[in-house]
Amino acid sequence: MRQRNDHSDEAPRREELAAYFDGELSGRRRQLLEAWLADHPEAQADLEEWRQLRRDWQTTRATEPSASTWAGVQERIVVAAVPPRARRWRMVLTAAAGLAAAFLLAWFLHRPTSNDEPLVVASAGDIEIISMEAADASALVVGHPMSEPLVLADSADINVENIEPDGDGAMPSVRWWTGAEAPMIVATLTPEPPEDER
Amino acid sequence: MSALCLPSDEELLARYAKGDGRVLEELFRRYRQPAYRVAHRLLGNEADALDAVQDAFVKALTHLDTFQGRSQFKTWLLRVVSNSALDLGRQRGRRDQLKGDAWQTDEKDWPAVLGCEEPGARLERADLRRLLDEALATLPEAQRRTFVLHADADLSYREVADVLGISIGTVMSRLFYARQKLKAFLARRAALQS
Repeated sequence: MRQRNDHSDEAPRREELAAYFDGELSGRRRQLLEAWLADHPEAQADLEEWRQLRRDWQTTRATEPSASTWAGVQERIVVAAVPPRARRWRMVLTAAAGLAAAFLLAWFLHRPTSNDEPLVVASAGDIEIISMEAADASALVVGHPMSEPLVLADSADINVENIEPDGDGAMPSVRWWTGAEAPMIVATLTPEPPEDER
Repeated sequence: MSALCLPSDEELLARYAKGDGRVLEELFRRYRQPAYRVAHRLLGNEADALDAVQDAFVKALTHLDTFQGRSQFKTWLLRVVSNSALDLGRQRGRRDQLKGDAWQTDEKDWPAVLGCEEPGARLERADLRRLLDEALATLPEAQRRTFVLHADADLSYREVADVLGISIGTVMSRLFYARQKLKAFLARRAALQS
């Protein structure tokens, strides 16, 4: 065995016993170690104990799990381990699906109700103004706000054709303004007298 | 299929990288047993060992892009397995300490070897395994891992060196000192019992 003051490079190292035992030592190093072993019975005893340890170690190896157990493990691996290329496709498809869902949602929220007509809130024939507070005079709008710019009506846009009494027989008081400051709702108007009175 | 017809690991991995998930079955068949033996030796029971094997295969296959072919798939996989097993063992050690349980080998992992083992012999084997597990636990982690990779996965010195990223000389030294420590522990235990 190499001593501290032994500068011979050919003297075996004690650790080489492990390599010798495991069949990892060959050629000149093996020959030197075998020669050294012949003079060191304590190292031979070590080797014998290592052989017993090896036998015990192999005897106590766990038995292989059943085929069904392995099948279960493999199945879980398959689910969890997606191949790289498939993983990239999955990411692309997931992103595309998300984008498609976003477009679908946007289309659903803003879709037209028919192919030809814009969304109609109410037509002129749907509205019958019975009465109105003066404070609300500027609140009413006309037109189709979803499909065209808002157009505020002024007094010149409105033509009062007929005013009828309500269910109680009361006639509405309609005021009419003119000019740029006029509110957009129908203004007061003095009803025309009946035709036979004109 | 003869051995000559079997595709190499590199061929299988190339096909897997292109999306062929079927090669997983062959890779798993090739390396599940050494992976399991390493994990079982480090963890001591079937359930934890299977978890470590499953975890290792998933990690290895999910991170194939980091593999880069600089080592064999086998040694790379066993590195992941031993890492997973040691991590799980640390967690279990902390959990066992909190519960106050001793680290014990699960006897149900020791079915009759050839179907004709007598119960007494099986019990002896289970006792021997417990004793060896105790001895193994006294080794420093580096020696323990080196020894198990060689003794249970049957890796050569070069393969062990590849797994652990160390020199062959270091493998040899670790195995030498691991065996000496195991031998000493078993001798002390035998002396106490006698």
